[in-house]
Amino acid sequence: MASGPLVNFAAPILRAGGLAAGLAIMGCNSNTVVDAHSFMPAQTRAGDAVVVIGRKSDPLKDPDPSFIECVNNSLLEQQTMPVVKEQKFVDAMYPWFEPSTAPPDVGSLSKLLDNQAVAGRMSDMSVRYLVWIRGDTERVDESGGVSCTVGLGGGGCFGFKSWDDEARYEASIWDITTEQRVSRIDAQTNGTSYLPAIIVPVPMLARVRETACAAMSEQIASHLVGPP
Amino acid sequence: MTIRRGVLVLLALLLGGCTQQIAIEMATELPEVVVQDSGVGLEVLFLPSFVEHVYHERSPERGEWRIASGNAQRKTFSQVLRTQFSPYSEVDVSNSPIASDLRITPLIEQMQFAMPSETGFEYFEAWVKYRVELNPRDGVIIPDWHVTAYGRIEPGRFTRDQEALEQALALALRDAGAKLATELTAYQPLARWLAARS
Repeated sequence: MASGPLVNFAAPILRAGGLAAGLAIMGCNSNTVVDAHSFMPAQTRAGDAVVVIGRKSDPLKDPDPSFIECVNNSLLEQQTMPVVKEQKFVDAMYPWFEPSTAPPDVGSLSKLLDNQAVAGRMSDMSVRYLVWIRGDTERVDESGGVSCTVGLGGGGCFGFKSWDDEARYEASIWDITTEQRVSRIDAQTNGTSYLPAIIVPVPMLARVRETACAAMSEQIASHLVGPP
Repeated sequence: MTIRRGVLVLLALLLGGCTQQIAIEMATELPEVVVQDSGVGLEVLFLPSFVEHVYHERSPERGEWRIASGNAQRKTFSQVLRTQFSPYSEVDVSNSPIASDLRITPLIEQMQFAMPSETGFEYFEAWVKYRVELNPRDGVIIPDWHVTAYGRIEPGRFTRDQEALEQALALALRDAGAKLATELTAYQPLARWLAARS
């Protein structure tokens, strides 16, 4: 008689434990799609530098500064070419690359470079390529729940939660010397994260932003190097 | 008597707790401005209403806010315009005769801000609306130039409202400087006057 409730209590725990173990083995799933278009071959010379800038025209689609930093760091690690930090570049070019004044297209850049002061400053910094990034990461779905309780005898969390994140970014590479758009790269990563909790919550996170960043950085680097 | 005094003190503290005072003092100067000198002499008339500008708001929903930005406003306008025009000077008496090719008088028409609790977005926003009077010494009439500056900041998790708003206002001032540097001389009535002089 006494074993009935115990069995009823143990069954969901065992089921959740089995599910958590299964997920831990399987890991978080994510998939990335990269779509890259090259409009003209890059003609990089020794000493040419690149700057990665977030396009801040739409408040709801501003790229997270951490994504820009991630692409920056990734390009630095790949040692493709010197990388100028975004804030350093924007400050050095003030007031021409502010959210309200930045050139919206290559034609506007061409007009901006007619300004000798701007062209001179760009040349001083050896900046050859501008990489404009727009996009964001957002949660598209979530389900389940975890509840935690604390009592005299201790506490714990029970439940299961999962959520889907989507990172969608677009990079546009402009060549300052030729005043042309070199390439456009789209990277989209979808991933599901899990949070099983049996006394202690064990988050298994799909790092969609980081995955999209790695995929995009790799493409940017290969487009800047150009054909061998 | 003691209880009544205690209640009054408590009431005063509660009311005082609703007051948030912000004094914007730009910690750093704007970056160096990359513009070409127009070769036109300019004097800027900084009226007390501009350099001592204080935004004051009191409402049951928001409490009381005082935003003193006059000093930062003056610094911003001064730093941008002295790069664009030479010789450059500043005056603070409105009835003094115009001694340069052009006199401009910046005025703050409106200042607004919005917080995440009001908009549902995750960022703080600030707007400053300016009217700039343009008076050439040669008597040509140029209509006022209107410009709105905007700043937006997504604060960190532990950033206080006051701090986030200061940052949004600082960005609005940076935007004001950028628009002043890129749009003022492109403003058609002024651009025509400048072209006629060259």
